[in-house]
Amino acid sequence: MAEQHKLIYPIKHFRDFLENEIRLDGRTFDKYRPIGVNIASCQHSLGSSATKIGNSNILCGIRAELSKPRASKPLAGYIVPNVDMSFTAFSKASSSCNNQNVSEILECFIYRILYESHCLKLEDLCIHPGKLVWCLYIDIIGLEVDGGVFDASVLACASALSTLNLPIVTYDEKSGKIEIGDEMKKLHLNIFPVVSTYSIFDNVVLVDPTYREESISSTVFHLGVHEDTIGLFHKSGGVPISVKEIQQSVKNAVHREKEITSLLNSLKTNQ
Amino acid sequence: MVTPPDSITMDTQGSNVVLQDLKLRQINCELNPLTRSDGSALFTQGGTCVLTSMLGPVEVKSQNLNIEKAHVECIYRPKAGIPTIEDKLTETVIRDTCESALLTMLHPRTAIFIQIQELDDRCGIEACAINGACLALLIGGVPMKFTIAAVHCIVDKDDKVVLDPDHCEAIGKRASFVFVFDSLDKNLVTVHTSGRFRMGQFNDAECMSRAASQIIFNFYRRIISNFHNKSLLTADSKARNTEVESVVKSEQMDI
Repeated sequence: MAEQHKLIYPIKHFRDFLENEIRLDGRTFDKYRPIGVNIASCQHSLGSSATKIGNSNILCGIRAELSKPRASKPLAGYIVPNVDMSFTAFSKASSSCNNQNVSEILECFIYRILYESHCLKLEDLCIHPGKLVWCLYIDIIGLEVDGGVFDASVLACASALSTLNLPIVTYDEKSGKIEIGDEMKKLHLNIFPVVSTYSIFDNVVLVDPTYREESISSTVFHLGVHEDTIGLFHKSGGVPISVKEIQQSVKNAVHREKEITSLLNSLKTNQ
Repeated sequence: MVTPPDSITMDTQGSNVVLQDLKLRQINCELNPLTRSDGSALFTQGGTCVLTSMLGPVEVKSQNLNIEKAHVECIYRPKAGIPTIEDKLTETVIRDTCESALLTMLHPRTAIFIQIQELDDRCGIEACAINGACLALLIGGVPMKFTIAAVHCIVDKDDKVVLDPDHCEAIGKRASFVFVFDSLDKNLVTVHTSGRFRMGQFNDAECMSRAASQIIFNFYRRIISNFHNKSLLTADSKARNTEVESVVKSEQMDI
């Protein structure tokens, strides 16, 4: 009976749950789903990570190539995010047109988070000014998407970057000879970016929504917080929200950021 | 009947502004510059200029058909070249923002198209495009829940919050914000930020933008009422013309 009720009246069904202060998967409103991160899992990439948030499963691998910098920015390297949402990622057939859109937006945001929010300096990718820089291809593959695709992708990308080992390259200016050494060097990340997603349904803020919750809620927004600064705030359409709701979410996001950073630190020390 | 294009210039200093440095760049608008679309607007904010048009509600492709509400689509064309990924993001933001303002459930199984052509970008193109799109929708006569006003704001290189800067002021900016407010409670419909900033700066920018959004709402009201009064004049016969004119004049006094 409950199944039919859920199918025929999805919104009323959800509302009944919310009245009892519980969500469809048994979480309370401010509870996040469990996170799993597996770093350096792909052998052939320089840095990689497989991330799970609830049922969302995102894989990120980074490869690096040598290239010539732009004449306008002789010190800056390149970062090229590439997001691929496979056909298995989305369950619903109706979201097939949405699919392409999600990956384009994600590419854009990952570049913005890394570069404009100063997570890494493009100058760190320089080998020889004006002659040789690193070009990092950040490939993100969505294996399964069940909400929080932003959170999971950014987490996968950041954890892959934090494990990235670049070989030390020497460039001889006179002969133009490139020598790739055996020693490896870690890339310095200024900030470990963490993005949290929130959705609002009937004036209730739900943290870390699942795909089902995202699709029936009236608005979804993303917050990227680091200590006392905000690196990303994106809300696109939906019902208007007040400043109060924003402040509440920012507070929440600060806690979440601390949790995830400590998780990643413990992961790195165990390695 | 062809309505005459209407243009109006607004002095932004004269409105009910509390803060002293609350100034938007000069806003100009020409309504219905295009004859083939249902509604169009040439909207400029300082040197930034967009041409927006809307079409709808019209027939929808079967793959986009929604039995509960109208399908909203936005096409954003940059000044030169093909649209990049950044433009796609802008397009999505504009589409979502307009969709939340439209009463889409009144026109199920239809589509509403919004086209935006960037003419010149001297900073704040996203805000300008959203405002232009809102005016095009108002002229096009599709039912809306509320009107929307977008305000662009930056944190400049000296960590100061600057409202609606031009491209010279925006050099070396630390962060930029686009806030979109609804006309009812002045709540946030869309927030789009880039760069890193503190919560205090965000609050400052939000307060300034909220106050400045009233300037844009006043502008909408003025230009739309002027537009409809004028079309009323041309539609009427000569005999009644004088009578209508007096009505128009008294209305303008109220505004």
